[in-house]
Amino acid sequence: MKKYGLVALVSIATLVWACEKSSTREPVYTGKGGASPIGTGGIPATGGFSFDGGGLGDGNFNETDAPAAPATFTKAALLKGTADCALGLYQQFNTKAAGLQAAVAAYGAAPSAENLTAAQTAWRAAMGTWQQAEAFQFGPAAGTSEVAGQGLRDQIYSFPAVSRCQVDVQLVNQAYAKPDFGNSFINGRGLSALEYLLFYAGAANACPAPSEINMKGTWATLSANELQKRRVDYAVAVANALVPRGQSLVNAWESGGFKQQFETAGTSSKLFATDQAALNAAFDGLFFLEFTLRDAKLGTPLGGTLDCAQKPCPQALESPYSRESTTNIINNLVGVKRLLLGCDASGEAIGFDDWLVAANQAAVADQLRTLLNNALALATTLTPPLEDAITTAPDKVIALREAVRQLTMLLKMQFASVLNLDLPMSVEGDND
Amino acid sequence: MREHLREALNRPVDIAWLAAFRILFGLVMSVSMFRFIAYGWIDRFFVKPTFHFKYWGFAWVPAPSHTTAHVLFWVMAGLAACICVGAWFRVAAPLFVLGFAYIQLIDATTYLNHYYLALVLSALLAVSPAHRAWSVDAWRRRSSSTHIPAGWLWLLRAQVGIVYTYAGLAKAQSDWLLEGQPLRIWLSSLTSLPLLGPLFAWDPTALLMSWAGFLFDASIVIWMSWRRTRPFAYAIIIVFHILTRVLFPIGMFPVIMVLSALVFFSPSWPRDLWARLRRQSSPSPVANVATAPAWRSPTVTLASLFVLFQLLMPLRHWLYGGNVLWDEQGMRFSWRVMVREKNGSVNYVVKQTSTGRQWEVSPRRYLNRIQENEMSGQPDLILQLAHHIQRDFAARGIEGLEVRASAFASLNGRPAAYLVDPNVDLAKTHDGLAKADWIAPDPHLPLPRLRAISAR
Repeated sequence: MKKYGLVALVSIATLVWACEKSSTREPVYTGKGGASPIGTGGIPATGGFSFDGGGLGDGNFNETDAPAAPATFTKAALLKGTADCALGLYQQFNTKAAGLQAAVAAYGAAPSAENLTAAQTAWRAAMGTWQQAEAFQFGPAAGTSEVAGQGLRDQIYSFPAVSRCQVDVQLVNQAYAKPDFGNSFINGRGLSALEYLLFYAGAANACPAPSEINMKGTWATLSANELQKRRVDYAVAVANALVPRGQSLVNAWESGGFKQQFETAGTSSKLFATDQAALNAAFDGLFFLEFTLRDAKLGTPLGGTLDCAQKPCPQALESPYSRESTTNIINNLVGVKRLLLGCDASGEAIGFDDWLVAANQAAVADQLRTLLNNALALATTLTPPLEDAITTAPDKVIALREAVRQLTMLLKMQFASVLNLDLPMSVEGDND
Repeated sequence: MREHLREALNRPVDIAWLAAFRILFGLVMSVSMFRFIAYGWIDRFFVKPTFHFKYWGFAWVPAPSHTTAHVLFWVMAGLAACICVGAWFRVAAPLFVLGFAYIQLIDATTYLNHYYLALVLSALLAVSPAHRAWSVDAWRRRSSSTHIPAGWLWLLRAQVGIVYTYAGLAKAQSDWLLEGQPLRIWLSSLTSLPLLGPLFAWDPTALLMSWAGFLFDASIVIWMSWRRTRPFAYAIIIVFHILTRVLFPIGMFPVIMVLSALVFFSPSWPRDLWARLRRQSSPSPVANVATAPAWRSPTVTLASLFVLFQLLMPLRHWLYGGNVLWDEQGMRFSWRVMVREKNGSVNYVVKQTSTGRQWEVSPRRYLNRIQENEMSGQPDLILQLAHHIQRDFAARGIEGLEVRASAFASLNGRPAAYLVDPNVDLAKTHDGLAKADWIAPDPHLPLPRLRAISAR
């Protein structure tokens, strides 16, 4: 009887194998791009970025602390490496936000050109670090619908939900001077508002003609000196409101216990029942690459979209006044690299690529490194900077957007499949 | 022959099994509706999306407003409770079926096999005499049936049997039986689970569990039909479904299957169980036999057509050829439960033929993450969104458009490949029941060989 059972099992397996074997004789689709849509060629993988350069976040805060990938990969080590990296960036941002607050306060006390330059430099430094931290949009930084989400990312930097007009309106009504300014609309404060206030000195406002400040003429009544004074005061208020938000984020990770909850996922964590759930959350936060970086930062400024028909569309640039849009993108990609390949500059620290290798998916890990380095190289060598390139060299911007698209495609498909990364465990299904 | 069949179908059997099934099913459905309310799924799935995908032929089904949707789910929970206690059953059960069908038709991205099964089971219940015993209706009328025609029992058994058997047949393919995929992918992410986790890090586990799942689904109906093996088979059913519930986020499916499998027991099982609980040697005898209406020719014909439909519907993919897990033609309503891990990425390129102007359109402009995730692996939904984009552009005064999709998918961890022919103008392509030549065929790329990782 057992023999028959065994024969039956072997027969079924043989039958299935034979059927599948014969089905491979079907014609293979040879459409454009074939079956390997995610390119690996192009710019050399070495890239040209630096963790330390110019307005880039200095990023070397924990290079000595970042543990090298252990000989035997464990998800627990990846969780710890990811948490250390995120918290390190937040702490670094806090330090720079405090420096920014001091510099803006000094500029407020004595609005000289020298102090303005110092405040602008401090803004660049804080922004550089924050743009790297953008890759870590999970936990308290994430929206309130996510696990442990407190929406703190938007409180610090809400792009693309920004409104220069809102800043102008608040310059007129002096909402920045009110005690509850720290809880006002996010598009009127944060790093984006601060850029506008520190780098733009023009007399025009960003609101359309039918808006209240233009219709009623309240903007026009502001003298140049009054406007300048209000911009300085507004900048001081924004910088003051920024520091507690950054501190809240660090506190949520440290004393609030999120770091411990994240690192103990699957064991004693009350937030994450499995280590996979915690890694899913980190993975989910990465999708700013697609919607914010690829579409909002690169796609929309190129113009010709439903939102902005003109070509190009400079008003959609992320940081047009400081002309740091390219630097922001580079820092975003550096942040992604820290998360995926390891927190240190060399990529030796533990990252998702080590998980891929441990899962016998070294080829996918190589592809990930290549695509990420390609995108970084294209961003780093983007000359002229984005503010000019969208007009004079749109092909370079399109190439960068394509590189980011290929990276997101790999992350959404093969990377997500082999590591079984998915939406957070809030959706049920039967995979049909 | 026909007389023999009618005679067999009209043989009186104890109504207890059907009454118990009604009570349990109504309870589970009521809980299911409350889960939608409690977890915020009503807004997420049915209210917040600005665009809803429709089933072929049901594009006319309107999406509910916020208030309508919330009221609907509360009403559905109430109707399910009425089914449970058998109150106003002849009104409540059909209304529940209509309401549940409407919920399913709002958005095709919410399709789940167990929702479809719940709909089919509730429809069968609605036309059955399930309220004629142990119900408020029977109590109010002071009359109840003790027996029903055996046809009802065989109809329910056929339906549940079809689900298990086709779920087993869907696993008879090389990814599942030779590579242990996609189970290997899923188990590799569960190595941190207590007790079972280390087992999942052992390489042969995925293949062994794949075979176990295949043999379970394909043969459980046989073991449940044989009296001697039935208790052991049901114990295995319970263990199997508890395990799937622990390992995978599959909602109410295990509960529905565990209660559905009860139809394979003797029709008197609830009385037997009650007797055992009361430590009686045998159940209380039924005092007066009162049988529900017999099955006449129209009922037999309708029941036969229903079973024939359920037998043929899951096989329709054979008419299309190709790999159903890839092209999805014949995928829905065919009990292919947990047989694929598919992830896709879609972008649209819209071109105005008269001016040559071109737009790249991200699906996220119209969809939420859940919808985009579901759509990106299902070609008919990709086509639907292309048509919606065309309509959206037309509403903005931009007409004469070609819409093409740059759509890729990865099946069970394979390298990504084109899912839709990028050269086809989807604006001029229509969905239908015929084989879709605009879907790129499965390129049969090699499966990656995964290695599971120990948790710590």
